[in-house]
Amino acid sequence: MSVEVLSCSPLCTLQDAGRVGASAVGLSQSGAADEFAFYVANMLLQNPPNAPMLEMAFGNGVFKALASFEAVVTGAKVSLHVEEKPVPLWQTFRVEKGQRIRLGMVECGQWVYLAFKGVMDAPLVFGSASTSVKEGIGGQRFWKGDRVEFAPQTLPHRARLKASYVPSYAEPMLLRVVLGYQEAYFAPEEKARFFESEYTITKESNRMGYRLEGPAVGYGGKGIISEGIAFGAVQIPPHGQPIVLLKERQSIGGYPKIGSVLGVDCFALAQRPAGTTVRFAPISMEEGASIMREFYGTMGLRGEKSR
Amino acid sequence: MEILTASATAYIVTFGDVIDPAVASQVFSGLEALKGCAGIVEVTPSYTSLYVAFDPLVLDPFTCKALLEETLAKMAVKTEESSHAEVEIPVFYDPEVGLDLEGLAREKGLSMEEIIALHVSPVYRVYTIGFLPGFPYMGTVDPRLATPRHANPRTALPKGSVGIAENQTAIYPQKSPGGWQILGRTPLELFDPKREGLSLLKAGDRVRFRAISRREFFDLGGVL
Repeated sequence: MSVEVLSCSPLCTLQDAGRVGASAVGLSQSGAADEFAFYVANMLLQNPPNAPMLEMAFGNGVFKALASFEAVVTGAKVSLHVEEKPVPLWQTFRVEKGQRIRLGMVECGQWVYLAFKGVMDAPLVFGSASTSVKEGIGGQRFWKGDRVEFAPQTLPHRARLKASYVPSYAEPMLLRVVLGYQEAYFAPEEKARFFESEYTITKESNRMGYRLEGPAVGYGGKGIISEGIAFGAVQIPPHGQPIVLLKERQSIGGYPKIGSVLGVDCFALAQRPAGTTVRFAPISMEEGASIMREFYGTMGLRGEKSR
Repeated sequence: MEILTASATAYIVTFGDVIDPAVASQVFSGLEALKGCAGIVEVTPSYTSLYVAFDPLVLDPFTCKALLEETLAKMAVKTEESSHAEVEIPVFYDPEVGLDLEGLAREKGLSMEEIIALHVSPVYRVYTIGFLPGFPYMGTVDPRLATPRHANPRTALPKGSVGIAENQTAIYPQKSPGGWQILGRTPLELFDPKREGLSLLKAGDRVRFRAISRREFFDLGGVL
């Protein structure tokens, strides 16, 4: 039971929420760049929250059903057709055996998620099926001719995300930052410049991190001994241009960090294309943690071993 | 010990601000102590610190900090001798694979044999794994051997390359760009996705290098 890849974007990989407990051997967290789109897809299909699915950079792909099943596409805005029939995003749909799912180029956003109702028997590394192309481990990277193997299950009823919850990835963003302890090493005027300036997302942005361009933030503090890096950490390298580190970040690093962008804002940031402007605003750790708790709770996670 | 904010759902626990075996022992003991702590989802050891991420559905920042304080305050710090595996790494030290062996000998006014003898004599400590999957940062290199990284990193160092940078030594688990000064090559697989735990070495392990011949390098599966 499976799907055949007739064509796909050059970066089409299997992803779940990410790898936990593997940083001690140097592996990145990896996993879906946009967890909102990822969890919503599984929720709509009534899959387990962490079920793996296909993540595609910039959309574009044709997939042939070798069985009948139900599926959903979330994330960046693309045109979606089953054969010639247009199908809405963020809404489950049925595909009959032999039909083709066609995805266009992204119109807005970066990452498209294609998920199937059913059980996928994906190989796990450190408990995760997510693929890190950089590290050459885990899951799978798909090319033309590959098959995505899963056992379809019946979806009791159709489901869609309320239109008011469907994100648009077009607008500039305010990134909420929890200040880290190294914040104290930055001079007040440098911190002020960081929070008062507008930064533009550059083309050198990927699953590992988003490089921004704007007024340089000077660092006059002491050297940092390499240490573990948080999801969303805002690194300030010597040139002073901030880098927001995302799901496929390296496990440790030695650049100074002013703080960390809140997880939910990182998911939305990952969907913003180069050229989008962002600003930063401070938020307390308590408030940030409570927003993350609400997010994971809403997405159906129960905190067993959830992240 | 200090518990410092890293993000909305993570702390950095620092045990000191210098790279030092006694500080490292506290880091490794802390790593052990936090294993299986409910709500703690990621612990990343480094030279002087532990990065600790928590599940916001299980812990809030306040309770997590209290849990860390309590758990780490009562941990028993193991000494270097009493814990962790000792791993022997065979290395073919030769200008054929040790791209910087001759240059370094010249620069330090030592023979290549002396360079090799200085590199194999200490028992090194794995301070942390990072940069690449399975890449071990080890110390401490004899001061007579310590040397800065190349100003211009090489675009591709072969898998298994053993190098030094300042007073650290490391092994490239895979072909990679890199600026470390290369003394030789090991035939061992440092990182294997099929191996239990994936990485040959882990933080806290002790490592001894052993010089091998060209013949033994091939016998152990080494490739030039």
